[in-house]
Amino acid sequence: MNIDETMVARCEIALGTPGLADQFRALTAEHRRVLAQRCRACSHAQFPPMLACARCNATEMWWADVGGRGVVTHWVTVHTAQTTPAFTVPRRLSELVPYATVFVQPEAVNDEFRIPAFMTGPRLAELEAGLPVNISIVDVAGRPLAVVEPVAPTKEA
Amino acid sequence: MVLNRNAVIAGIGEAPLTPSGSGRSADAMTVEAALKACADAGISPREVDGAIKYTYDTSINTFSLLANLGAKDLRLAVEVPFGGGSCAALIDVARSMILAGRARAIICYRTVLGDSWIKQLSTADPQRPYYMDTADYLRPVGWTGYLGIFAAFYSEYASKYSISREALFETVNLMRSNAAQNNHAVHTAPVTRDEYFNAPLTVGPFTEFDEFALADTSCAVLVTAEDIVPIGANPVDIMASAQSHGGDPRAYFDSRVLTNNLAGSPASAVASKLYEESRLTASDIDVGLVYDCTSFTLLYVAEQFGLCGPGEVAERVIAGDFATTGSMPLNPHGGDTAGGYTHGFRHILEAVKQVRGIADNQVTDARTALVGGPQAGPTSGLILRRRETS
Repeated sequence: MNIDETMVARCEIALGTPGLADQFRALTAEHRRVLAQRCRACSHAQFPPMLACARCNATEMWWADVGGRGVVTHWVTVHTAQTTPAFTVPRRLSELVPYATVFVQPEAVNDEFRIPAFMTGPRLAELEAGLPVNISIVDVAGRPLAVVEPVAPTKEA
Repeated sequence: MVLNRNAVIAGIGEAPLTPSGSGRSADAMTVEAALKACADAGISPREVDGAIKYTYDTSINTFSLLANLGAKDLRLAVEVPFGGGSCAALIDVARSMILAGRARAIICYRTVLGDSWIKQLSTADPQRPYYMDTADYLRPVGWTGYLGIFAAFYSEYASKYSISREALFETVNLMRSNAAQNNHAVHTAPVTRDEYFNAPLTVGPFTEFDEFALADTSCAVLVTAEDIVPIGANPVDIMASAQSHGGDPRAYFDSRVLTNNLAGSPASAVASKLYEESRLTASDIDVGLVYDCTSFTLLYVAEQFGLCGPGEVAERVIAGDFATTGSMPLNPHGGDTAGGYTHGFRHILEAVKQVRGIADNQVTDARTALVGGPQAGPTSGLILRRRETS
């Protein structure tokens, strides 16, 4: 995919860090594509978004589709919604335990960063570093989220 | 302006650590710790002319502390805004200011009331962009806060090296057996194999036993120009101090999981600076005081500071090498995991006690101690050494 074709919208840098987050949520809901930030000048990609390009310091940044494929680098399984002093489960996800927050290196991006995504269900047991996954935007508990699923078909029991 | 020839740790002080919920005042505890540090140094609190604290704590601010000490002058009042990585950074800043001649006696401190710290920890704060990243980008996909980052490091580490919960179990009990030798510690009873392996998992490889122990605590370190330390006091030399955010400036707490720098973490960048400045190597370190907000944090930080070889830490902890009588003693006070959570700052007090030879759980003839901050940036470290009397 040509980089220009991946550009979804210009980042509203002037709105600052909270404004970028609002824009990210709105664009994810509208376009239902997995987004990161890309520099128009040098094409560097980064996530989470910043207020300038960390490679060339340009301040014209764009929201760009990073594609629906990647590999798992690591993940965190949340086994229980029962909290301890140092952790709490997001309320809207508490019915979905066990689940995992999965970190994915997008296939279409050469720069090294990971997209955080959600996974639940019987295929959690298949998680391993290097696992090829599809990432798509799915409504989870009423909110559009990046959700991963292994590329390989489910193994028959 | 006259530059100071050398900066030393002249004194340490502590309001006795208790489990959290003690009902004590953070402000009063801080003043108590600071006065004790001055008394330990043999220096009048009126001579203190600078104060440095972590930004993110709930204790008295720098200029109020100086007022409470009756300080004659305020030459600097500074906050270091990292997380656990602020620990040795406070000392690094104090030392730099003293060497530059900007102050002569700087009180560095950290006060934690466990309950209010937990409240602060789980609140998104616009002053901390990384906490906003957590709230905006990680929380929606299930991020659980504190434990999540260290569970993520475990997952990343386990994809490259051999490690299992057996190593975490050994670590929990190593810290608890060390804490049992410490006069002020929270968890001093061992965890049985059945208790540990039957406990429900919470996040990643962790159980309730793997988390830091909530405590109420205040610690203070007085860093001064060498020439104001009176005869009879027991100053400790700072061989090296350093800060770093590592190879990727965004490798800070929480968003570190979105970067890729296992081989060059902020902690390993600090380690390189410490060994370069001190002209020492890891084999010269007699005792390591490494950040341990979870069991795995201790193992990973020890390895990142070179206190064992890459990928070795699990087998080394199972072999008992990190015990006080082992080849590389770690956290003889029980650390933050069992001793009580101080955001790593009590590690500095323990390092000073160890090289002075006065610790509750003393490593035999410890002369050189390393203090290592967490593996998320920005972080910091120190190498301290016993002053040889001529």
